[in-house]
Amino acid sequence: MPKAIKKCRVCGKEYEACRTFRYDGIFRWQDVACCKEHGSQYLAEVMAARERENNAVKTDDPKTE
Amino acid sequence: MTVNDLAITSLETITVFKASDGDYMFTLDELQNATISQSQESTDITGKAGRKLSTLKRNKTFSISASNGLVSTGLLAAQTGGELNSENTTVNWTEELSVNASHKATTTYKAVGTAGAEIKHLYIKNTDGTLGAELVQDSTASTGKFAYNTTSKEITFHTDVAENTGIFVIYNRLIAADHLVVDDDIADVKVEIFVDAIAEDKCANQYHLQIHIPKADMSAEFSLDMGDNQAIHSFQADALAGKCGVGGNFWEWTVFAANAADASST
Repeated sequence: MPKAIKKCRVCGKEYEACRTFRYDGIFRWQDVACCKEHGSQYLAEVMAARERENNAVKTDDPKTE
Repeated sequence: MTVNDLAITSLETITVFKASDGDYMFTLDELQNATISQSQESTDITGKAGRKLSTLKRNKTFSISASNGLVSTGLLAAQTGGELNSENTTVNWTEELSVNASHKATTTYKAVGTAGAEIKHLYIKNTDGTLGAELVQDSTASTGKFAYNTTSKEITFHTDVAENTGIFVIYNRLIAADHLVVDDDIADVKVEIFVDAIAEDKCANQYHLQIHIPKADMSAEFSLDMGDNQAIHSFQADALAGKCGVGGNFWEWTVFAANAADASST
């Protein structure tokens, strides 16, 4: 049976991903990482990067002050 | 009032309710045609030397079919047994964008999905318009990777993706829509149907004709032509005996003067 292989976005290791129905708004570590720990790490990195970017935009824009 | 011969001059509407609870389902009002047909099998009862004595009647059926000039979402729900709701749902969205001088591109709509993997696919377009390398979403942009901010809808690329580079993006967006969900189970919808038509007698008097089928089995078979031809939405339903509260009525044919006042109930 063919398997869906993805690359972990934290360690780069290939892993077998299950193609289940995705509920939007729910974070599924299987979509992005090889294990729960790497999924949590990736989510934290994404959130931190977005927060940094959004804060930078607020500082640049005088209307938001 | 006795009306003998009628010409049906206009097919007006077909209105459909759920047979189980009487909930209104839909009305078809751009009808191109409708056909009702009844059949019944007869088996001869024979006597000496095969002489016909009488007939045994069985398998009485009544069916209706019609074609609507517009696609009816309500009819689709009835034919598929699906649940039609006005709700938020995701749709697949594709876009062709261009990278700006800041190595960014902005999606028209907000991509939704697993955080950090909202963009399902992103390809760099080759100069001939074909799709080239696929980049992967990550928390920050680097070689072969891009970042996406759901607040600003900005895709940020590494500096190696030059200004004016064309990209092809595939993502899911959330949208409020009329949403019909058809599951893979068997469709089994029983309906009550009213057909309304205008008729005329030989003296040019106008009548309203209503055909009522208290309980019918909606066929799950249909096809819609899309593209070159007009999408005509057709359906077929077979009358069923024994609707709760209606007794043995298979169908009814009611003709009344188009301008008839209400009858007195006493």
